[in-house]
Amino acid sequence: MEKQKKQSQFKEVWRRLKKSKPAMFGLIVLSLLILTALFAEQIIPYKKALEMNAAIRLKPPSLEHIFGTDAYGRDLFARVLHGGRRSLLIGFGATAGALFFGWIIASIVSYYGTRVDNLLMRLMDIIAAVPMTLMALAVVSALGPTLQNLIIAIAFARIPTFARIIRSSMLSVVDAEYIEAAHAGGAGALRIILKHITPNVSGTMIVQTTMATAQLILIAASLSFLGLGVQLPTPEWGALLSEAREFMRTTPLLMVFPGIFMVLTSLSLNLLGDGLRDALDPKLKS
Amino acid sequence: MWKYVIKRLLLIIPILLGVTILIFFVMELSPGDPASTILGAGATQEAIDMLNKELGYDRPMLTRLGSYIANVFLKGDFGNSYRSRLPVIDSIVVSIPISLRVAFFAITFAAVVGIPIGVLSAVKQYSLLDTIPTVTSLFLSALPGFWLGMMLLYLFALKLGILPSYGVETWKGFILPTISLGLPYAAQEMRFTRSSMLETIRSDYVRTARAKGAAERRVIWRHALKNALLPVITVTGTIFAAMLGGAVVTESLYSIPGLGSLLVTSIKIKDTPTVMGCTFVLAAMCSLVLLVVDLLYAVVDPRIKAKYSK
Amino acid sequence: MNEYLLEVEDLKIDYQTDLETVHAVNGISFTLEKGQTFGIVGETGAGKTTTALALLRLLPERTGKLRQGTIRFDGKDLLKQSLHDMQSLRGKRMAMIFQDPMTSLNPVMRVEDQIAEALMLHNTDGKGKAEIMARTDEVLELVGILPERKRDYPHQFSGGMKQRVVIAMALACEPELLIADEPTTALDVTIQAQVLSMIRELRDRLGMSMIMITHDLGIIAQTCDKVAVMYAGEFVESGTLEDIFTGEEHHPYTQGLFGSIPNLAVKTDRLNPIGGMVPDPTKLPEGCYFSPRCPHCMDICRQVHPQDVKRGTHTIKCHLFSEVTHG
Repeated sequence: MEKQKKQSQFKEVWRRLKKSKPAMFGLIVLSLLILTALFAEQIIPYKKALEMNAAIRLKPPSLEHIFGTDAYGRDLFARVLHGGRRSLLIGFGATAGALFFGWIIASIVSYYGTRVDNLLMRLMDIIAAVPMTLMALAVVSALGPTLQNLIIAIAFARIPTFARIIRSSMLSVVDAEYIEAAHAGGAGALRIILKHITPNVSGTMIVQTTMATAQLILIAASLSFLGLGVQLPTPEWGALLSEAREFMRTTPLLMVFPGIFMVLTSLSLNLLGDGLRDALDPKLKS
Repeated sequence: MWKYVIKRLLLIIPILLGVTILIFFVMELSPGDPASTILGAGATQEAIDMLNKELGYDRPMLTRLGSYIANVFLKGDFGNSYRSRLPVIDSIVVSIPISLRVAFFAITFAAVVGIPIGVLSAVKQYSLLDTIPTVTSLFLSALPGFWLGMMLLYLFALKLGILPSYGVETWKGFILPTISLGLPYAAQEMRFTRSSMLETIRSDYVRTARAKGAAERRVIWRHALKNALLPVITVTGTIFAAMLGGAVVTESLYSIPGLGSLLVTSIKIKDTPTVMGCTFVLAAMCSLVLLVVDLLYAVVDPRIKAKYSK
Repeated sequence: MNEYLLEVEDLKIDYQTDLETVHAVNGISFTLEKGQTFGIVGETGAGKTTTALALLRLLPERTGKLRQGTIRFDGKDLLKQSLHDMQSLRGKRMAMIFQDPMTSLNPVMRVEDQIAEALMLHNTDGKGKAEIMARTDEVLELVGILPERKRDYPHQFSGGMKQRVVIAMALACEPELLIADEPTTALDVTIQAQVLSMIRELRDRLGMSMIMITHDLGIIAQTCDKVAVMYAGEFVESGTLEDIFTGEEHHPYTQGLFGSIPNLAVKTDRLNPIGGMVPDPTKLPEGCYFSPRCPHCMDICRQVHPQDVKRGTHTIKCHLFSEVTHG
């Protein structure tokens, strides 16, 4: 019975989402981007992204190299595609991590109440006192600039925001009596959190996830741009942009292509997020 | 009212204390020790051990933490740079004004551009004056600030040559950083102002004003606007704090010698004391900004003012 | 001088969104004389507030569509007035008070300024600031608010006091018509009576006509001369106070309303709500809108929309009383 209810709820949300053209545009573009990231190797092999060839440096787009070549003669298209793979991986990975831990903290805090709330949320306040980019910067500088560390650092910086928002959502859904009633029914903490509280805030979580992903991809790119994230020659959109900087005067396309992909990714995530927000709670729509 | 101000000011201290401890522990995660970094690759183990002892690095972690906190909070002493062996605080103090200037110009730009357009867009909802800004702001908020910066640099500095490509020696040097840092945030301001204004226009007291016979213009200016702008104050503060973080990349791009550049450089050369100092100062600046915004809000909104006057 | 202060004929109002059309008001007519109080009683969603907003032409611009009908105030066709002229009327000759005092007042404007604004907007004879402020004080006194509180902000007042401020704003220019949309519903029960009696007193003192919108039959009994029972955007029954309260024949919905009032004198085990639900205004039923819930429903009720049956001042829109079915 509950499964059926969930299915029809899902269908209803999907129906509402389909109505929004921008949101569908976002969904389609995002899906395409994810697909190209997943199948990057099949579309154009990774070795092309690393293969240097001094003879064909900084060439404009041609049939063989559809985005042209970079300062080392590497195929730009391959670098942008595989760079995207990394950027998206970091973005989604960090978001997943921040979401998970943020959700745990929010759950603990809204279930166990005041004392735990004060303690944990103060901790969140402290981490949040450092601007996100800086926090990620500090952590990755301490751990060392590898892809995994980048994900950890960025996720860490984002946990407080997730915790706050999910907590606030949970608190509006939960009240002591509701939990007591579930307790009286014999449910344990985890069960209550999973079956009763979380489903009610899933809407918020989903919308936040899309917004956060866009934000975190940007932070990852910023860090790589500074040379403190993904290290060259490994491709990543921010790293590609830092390479492009040197050759702006002669070959602006080096920065245009990665940038366009970044904008498309952000845009589609934001459009999808906006659409999801409206679809999940149409009453909020103006 | 003053009680509230003082209370809020005091609340910052534990937060900053927490930030110091947090940064300390994060930095502890990094491999290596100060002496190795300072003396470099060729140094002997003996020399390293001696220098470490001199720097107090051989003490247990908690002792070092306590001593660091005491130095920072009581003396404003962040230690000495591993590179220059000079006090970190000096290089920080020199960099602060420049960073502040960049961030300040950027937030002013964002507010001055974003807020009025947001109001206009809300008042003229469904018309072109609404659709164009809404769509534009959607694109602008998806733009990475530093990419926008690069494109602007290319166009205005390299191709047209009318603006400098690096540094902020002249006022012209501030234009590109302000726009590239401010424009994406201007889009955010615009969207938030618009939604706040739309919500206010739909509220009951606006309907009451119309029922009293007020003309639409008066309804917007006298009733809706002030109420709608109150939450915008808070958001602007939050954006400013976020900007302080984003400015790091902008400074790098335009070779502006501010805190951000200092931070990035010290990370690259593993100058931990400077990294810690810069991070702390930037976090402190953010907290102060948010505090000021909170207080400002309390002054402006009679409901909050009353709450804290008791 | 016209016979009627307010004349409404065959008013039909829809809310039109991209997705659907909500038929909020479906052909109502009534008249109001000077000094009379007309009560509109019905459940939530019956269309009462929409009617009230329409009188002041305050329907939401994009979605509120007045499909047909006329509204005449003191002989003037309100639907033909320019916006500027409507604005001169609003607050000055026709005033409205709304249901929720918590949200009806501008939170960042002092109470005295909000009342003074009502006066300044209609200051056609060039009163000076001092005069206006003096009048503001008068009005505040009228509603029982102490003068030292006039520079306070709305949040500093309790619910009942806030509503008094709302009433003060509405009555500042001594309007001829006051539209009161559930003025006491949002207040504590103990305060309701106070505010209501104040409204009645002021009405008598100023000789105002009033439209009282409520779901509470008790309030109707205490304040109104004429009553209409509204259901699904129609007046299913209307008449004088006596017609509605002591008359013998009633629309089944009216019977249901009266029947659902718990009787303190008789011991009962259960309440008597009216079975079923209010119809979906986007999909009104064929025939009589009340037919799905009516205990006396006949075949014709499901097919033919009932017409008004007049018995003197008492009108009932129901097939039970129509000559056609009863011969």
